[in-house]
Amino acid sequence: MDIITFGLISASVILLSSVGFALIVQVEGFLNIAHGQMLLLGAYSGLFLSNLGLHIIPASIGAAIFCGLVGALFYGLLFRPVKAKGVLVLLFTSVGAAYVIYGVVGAIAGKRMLAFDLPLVRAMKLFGQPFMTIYELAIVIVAIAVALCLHLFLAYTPAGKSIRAVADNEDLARARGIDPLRTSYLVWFVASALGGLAGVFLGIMGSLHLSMGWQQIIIILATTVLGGIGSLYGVMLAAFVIAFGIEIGLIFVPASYRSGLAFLIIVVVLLVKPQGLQALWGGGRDRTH
Amino acid sequence: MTAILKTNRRRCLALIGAVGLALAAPSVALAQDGEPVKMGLLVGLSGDMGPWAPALNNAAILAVEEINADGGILGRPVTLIAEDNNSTVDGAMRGATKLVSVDGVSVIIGPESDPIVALRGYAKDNKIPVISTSGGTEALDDAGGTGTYIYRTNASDSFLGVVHAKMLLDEIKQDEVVLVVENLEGTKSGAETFKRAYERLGGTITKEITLAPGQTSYLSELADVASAEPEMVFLAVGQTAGVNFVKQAYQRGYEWDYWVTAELQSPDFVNAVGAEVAAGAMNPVSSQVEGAKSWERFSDAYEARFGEKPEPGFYQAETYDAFIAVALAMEAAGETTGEAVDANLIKVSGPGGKSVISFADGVAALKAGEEIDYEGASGKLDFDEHGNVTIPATRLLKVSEDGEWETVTIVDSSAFPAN
Repeated sequence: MDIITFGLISASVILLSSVGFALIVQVEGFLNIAHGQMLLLGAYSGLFLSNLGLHIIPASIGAAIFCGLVGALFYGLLFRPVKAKGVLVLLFTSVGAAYVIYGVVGAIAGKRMLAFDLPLVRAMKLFGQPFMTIYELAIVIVAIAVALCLHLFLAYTPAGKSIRAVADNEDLARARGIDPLRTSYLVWFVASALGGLAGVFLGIMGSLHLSMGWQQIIIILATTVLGGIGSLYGVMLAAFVIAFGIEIGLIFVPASYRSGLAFLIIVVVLLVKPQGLQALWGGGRDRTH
Repeated sequence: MTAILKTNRRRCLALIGAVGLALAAPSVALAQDGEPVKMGLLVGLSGDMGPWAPALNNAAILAVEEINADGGILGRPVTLIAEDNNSTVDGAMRGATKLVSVDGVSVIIGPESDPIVALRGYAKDNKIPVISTSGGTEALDDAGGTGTYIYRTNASDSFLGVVHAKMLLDEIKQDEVVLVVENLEGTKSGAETFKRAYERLGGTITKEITLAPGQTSYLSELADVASAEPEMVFLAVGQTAGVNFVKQAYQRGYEWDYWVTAELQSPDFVNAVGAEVAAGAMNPVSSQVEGAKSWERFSDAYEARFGEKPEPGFYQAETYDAFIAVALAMEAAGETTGEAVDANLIKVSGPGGKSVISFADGVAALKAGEEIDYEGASGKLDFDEHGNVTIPATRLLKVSEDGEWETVTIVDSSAFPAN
């Protein structure tokens, strides 16, 4: 029971942090290191809004929209102009962008640890056992909803189809009358907004500190590799595999080996399926990057 | 990743440089004749020590301003140059090299545990005294002293371990705890020294749990701690892991008392978990004995300068003392080189000689041809042969219902057994 609860919470945090990152990998074909700092930006802008007196729900939505706009702006100003130079240039640009966000947030918010001023809560009981707090339940619901919405959006809406088309073959998509530029802006907005939202949740569960973005990007990268680079569904599955793998593993080994366990899972999966979890349904065969 | 870190460092460097210049400006205005004497402050303005470093910086500013107001060292003005070490080993090497080669400081004050251990060879090779004011590491227990150019003005972890154990056993009669330790060098060393002392003095550690750093959820670890049904949990963990752990423990309905190490003794921690949850958490910190003149003098001057009282456990007094003692060593030697400081630091801080509590008094006594014993704001500051000091008293702090760290009691710890 505990394992299911703990795993579900961890998986939701990882999923929400990684899914925006994976979306950009899929469409733009590079690892956007600045995504970790979007979490930082989301957490701190959420805190700013909530300190202005906003309720936490509108504050987190506001933070997500703000991060989405910043992401779209970054795409327009930084990434689009260098896109022709290849993925390596994009990668390094994103590292630079990460430091810009990190520096600006640090300069404004200061280096001290901060926290949301929320009422203290106890975990709700299920069959007499503490189950989840309202915040943890919210993150699980939001994560599952996000995964579902993203799937429906990509599979059934024209905008979603255009995203998939651009991700698969940009030139062909253009020839079919899809505007790759508009699609890219949309992707960056959605991905960054999801990152911002994940940041707010991280802040609510623990505290806000400047290194939270760097800490999380490592987990995000690991999840993406496990899921199979470029596969959105692979990453969603990977979040659950890592989270539950760790929780089950902790029955046998001490908790200090948490990170070790995570990477053990990744190593084993990649040994068996070098393309990551996406290989389970045949993805990743034709990927060139 | 190295390239990334470098950019970061350069940015910090520019920032700190600018701050340093701005801070140095007023002291130049008070300048006496002659080439300025440069003193370096090398602390973790960014990184893990970030929450504490500004307090150390303030203490350094206060000391330097005081020295300049009293006529400078040997009639020469003093310039403070602050440098960030990113709270890391390589940051310390880079910062020290910059301070010595570019700025030409004759002493480096402030590096924390890991940084100062990394600078041991550097200090001796370059004849630049390096004085830690907050580094507890046991590696310095017998590494310093005259000739090694390594000193520290705060107590060692090995002594703090005894303090934790004695306070738990004697003051609150707690002879069973669960030990929760984060897998970091500093917290592990603190937990290890505590465990040794506590078990030797008759306490029992019913369970020991190690936390992996940087996790969002510690729910399985909490369940593990709960299985031992502890009354009190000893937390040797950093700030972010500590917040997550304590917050989630409250949410799951665990009502444990917390005994924490210096890492969590900050208003930030209380603020992040909520006053109601943090209330009751205890931490002993080293302290000057109650009513000591040197402490009151320092505390008043600090408050007048910065508008807030120095906080127990924030090492401001230790840093202030290091600067004053170095200045007095230079005065006693009649020169301002690193060698002169190394040769005279233990002499001017006693024991033996006329007891002085300020730079001005010390200079006056030296001019009168007397031996001096500088009594610090933090304690007696009597260095032993390995450049270590003992702490006169321990202050037991507890988080009150409204979330303030308040002093419960001050205990004379001068007779505590060594570890």
